Amino acid sequence: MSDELVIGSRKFRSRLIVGTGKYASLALMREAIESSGAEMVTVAVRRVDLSDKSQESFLSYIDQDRTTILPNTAGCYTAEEAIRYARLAREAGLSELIKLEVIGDEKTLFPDNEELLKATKVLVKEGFIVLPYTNDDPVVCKKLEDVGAAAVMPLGAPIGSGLGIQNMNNIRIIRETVRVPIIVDAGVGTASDAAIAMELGVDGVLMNTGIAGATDPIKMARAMKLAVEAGRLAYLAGRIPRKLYASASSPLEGVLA
Amino acid sequence: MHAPHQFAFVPGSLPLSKDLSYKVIWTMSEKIEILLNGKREQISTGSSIKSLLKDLGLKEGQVAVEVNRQIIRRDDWPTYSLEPGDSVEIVHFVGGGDRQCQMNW
Repeated sequence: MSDELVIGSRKFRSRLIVGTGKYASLALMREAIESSGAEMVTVAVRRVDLSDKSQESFLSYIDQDRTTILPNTAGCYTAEEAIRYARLAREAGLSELIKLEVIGDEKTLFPDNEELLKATKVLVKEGFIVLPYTNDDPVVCKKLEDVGAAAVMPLGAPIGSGLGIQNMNNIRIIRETVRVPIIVDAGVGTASDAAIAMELGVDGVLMNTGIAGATDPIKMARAMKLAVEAGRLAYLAGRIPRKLYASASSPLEGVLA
Repeated sequence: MHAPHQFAFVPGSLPLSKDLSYKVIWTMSEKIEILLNGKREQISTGSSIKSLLKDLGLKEGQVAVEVNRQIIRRDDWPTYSLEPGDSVEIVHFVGGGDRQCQMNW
């Protein structure tokens, strides 16, 4: 049975999306991506450093035959800026996929939902496949879906915090509120966090720091791959209800008198 | 910091001692100044975006170009000629997940 993540017209067997920042070296990044099994990676758009030509080799470390590039608008604080970055990303990457980030606060890196909605509307009209990074707020997620977002990416916890899924109820409500794919983005600190997200029924998990910041990123990448698979399977399998008291697993009949 | 008519370094130009006035006229007619990724740069008069990228040693497939905040589609790169004072931004993809780079433009 195939169980694929579908974003726009693209299909992915892996439900793990990984970032490409914060690695000690590009070689380590390549190995970690491979170990994660991710088929989609996020990249940022920045000025070419014209004094350092070695920079341009970044893309050569990503196997573009099996990996979809998902450019982001990281670092943008207004809809206008984010739209500018998205257009540049489309031109550089010749793909309409965009992970839309519009940050509202430097300290928490929480999104500015008003600007996010504005930018999503404009970019959807321009033909982009928009994946907005948003709060774990069901109302905002619904609004994003209504203006044409191809998926919603609620945070589990603040970016880079490693705190895990802070509000499981909200994630579950979002699951019941929107039909587009849900990708939990940000906050994953270790494998169990990723498994919990998937067990809640979301369609995928995106992470960067959780892998890149681990002592052994390659090993953690594999742990995340397994956790996402395990969480997905557990969700599909249907967990038992939680009960307050024990219920014996072994038959009571036939016990010795 | 540049004065507008400052001499540009032109490889193979005549030594200063020979004919200074000639050099000044020659330099001014062959070079224009643009703002390239936020820095003033001298480029050859009549440079297209395509020739600028080639001079910079950049691969066309991996960059996007804005001139005065307008994206120039790659089909137009060979014919788009840069004018003095143009503000040119050349961007590409770098490693990034959530947010790791500071905005600086």
